[in-house]
Amino acid sequence: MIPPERAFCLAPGICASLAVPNHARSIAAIVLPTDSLPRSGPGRLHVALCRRFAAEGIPAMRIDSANSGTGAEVPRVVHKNNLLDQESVLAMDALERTTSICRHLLIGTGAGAYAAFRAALSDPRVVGIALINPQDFVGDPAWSAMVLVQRYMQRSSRSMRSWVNLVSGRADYKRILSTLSGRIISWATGRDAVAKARAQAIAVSMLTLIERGCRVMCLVTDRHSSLDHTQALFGTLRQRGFQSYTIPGADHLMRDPQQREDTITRLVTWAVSCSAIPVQASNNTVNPACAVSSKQLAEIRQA
Amino acid sequence: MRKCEPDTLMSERSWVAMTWHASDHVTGNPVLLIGPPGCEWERSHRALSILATRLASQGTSVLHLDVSGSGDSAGEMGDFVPEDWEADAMHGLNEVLRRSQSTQAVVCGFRLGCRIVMPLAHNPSVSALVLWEPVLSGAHQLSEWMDAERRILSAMGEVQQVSARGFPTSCLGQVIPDSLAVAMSTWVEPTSAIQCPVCWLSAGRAAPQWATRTDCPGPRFWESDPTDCSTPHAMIGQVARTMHDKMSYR
Repeated sequence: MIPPERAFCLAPGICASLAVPNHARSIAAIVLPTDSLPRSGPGRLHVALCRRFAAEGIPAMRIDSANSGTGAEVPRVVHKNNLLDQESVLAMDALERTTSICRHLLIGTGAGAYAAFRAALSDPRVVGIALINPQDFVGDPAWSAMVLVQRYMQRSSRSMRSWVNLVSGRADYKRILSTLSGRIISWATGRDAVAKARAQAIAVSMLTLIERGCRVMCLVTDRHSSLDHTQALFGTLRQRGFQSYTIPGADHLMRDPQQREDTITRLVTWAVSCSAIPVQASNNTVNPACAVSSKQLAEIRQA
Repeated sequence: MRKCEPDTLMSERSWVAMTWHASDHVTGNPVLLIGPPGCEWERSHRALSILATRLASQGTSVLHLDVSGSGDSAGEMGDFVPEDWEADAMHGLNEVLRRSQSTQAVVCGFRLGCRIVMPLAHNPSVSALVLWEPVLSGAHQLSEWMDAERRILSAMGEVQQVSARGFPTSCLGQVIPDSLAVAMSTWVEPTSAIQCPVCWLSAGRAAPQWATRTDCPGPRFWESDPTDCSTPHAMIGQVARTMHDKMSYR
């Protein structure tokens, strides 16, 4: 039987579980929450991941979000990104107080991946981020339409299953039509140029992170649109240190136990390799549109 | 004023995770809240947490327990059998009585959690039982999970894998070994009379003679998207109101 985890509240309504190993390495991991799911993650992926990290000597904490899991009901008007930033900082502060380790790996699935990215941009304590099926980082409908049309052209058109679905009535025709019309409208109105500029700014920020010495790994399942988003956004960064792996045959739930096991093994191997990263001076020359300012960080800590 | 306190609790074979929602102005017996294990835990956790929060804000302390192999508790679902979950519920009841310093508690189950709490119905420390969308037969639960998995796989053009005995090898990401499937299939609905009052909250299923039925608005659990984890707030509000109005624990 594994030893009991420590459970506590980071802030009123934000619960966390901490798996502590007997002999800790010099690095700790935080698994950020996914959308509305509790801290156990999709299909308890985060539970299994944290326990494997602990077995490998890496203290690992997983947290709820203020509006998910055991968290309190926070009014929807509160800006989502502010909440995500606040929770990441709170988690790192709490982990540092508990373990005295000040170098962190952030792991996020879906929306949690974006939170990990934002936190890494603004906090030099983050030495590595793992993005599992990252959601659309750009957040612009024009960009989404552009990526989806690219998917139809490059992947769906070559897939026998997609053609079978299209002619047998299983395809989501409404979504296909709205994507195509959205793409045409954004092209005609020039909105896609704005979306491309935003995407480029995010790619530059990611490159800044990598150049700062932050390890970045991306894991995507090949039946999820995150594969297309990642390729479109970060495809050019692969030769600059952006590691990306595809889990073949898996959907976003990773229902096959073998797929989950492969994912966890890859993440644990990556985390162990990150523990050997030498401490570097941080270089916070990041895109101000993405980063949390030091003033905001101070406000979060005071709150 | 209320506070939310996550913790762990030693049970029969392992430790289980729990959250204690304490209320400062206690107005009635505390509540032990148990959700379903397996793939349904994730989908119901948020709704049960909101229910616990609302009850605590109305003056009822709540202990929300994750049974062994589910949620933040130790192990995987396949490491345990239904008797372990029943033992978890018993430990949960003792814990809620200890924390609240009360002599009686209301026990609330959701989905298969209802079957897990049924043995507590004969415990003199239980003042009332609340069964929300109850599933009282292990075989029925297994067949529902298999149907849900089959629908998803069919949409993806894949075929469900079953063991030599005809049980699913996994459902929605949860491995179900034959030992658990066999034990669950022998877990039948209780037939003996229940001593304490029972409130049966369901969208459509008729209540047995030993329970009082209250209609629960909203769709049946599996009629919504199997990967959806949201529960309408109206439904949670109705359950919270019913627990206050109709149960004799205030």
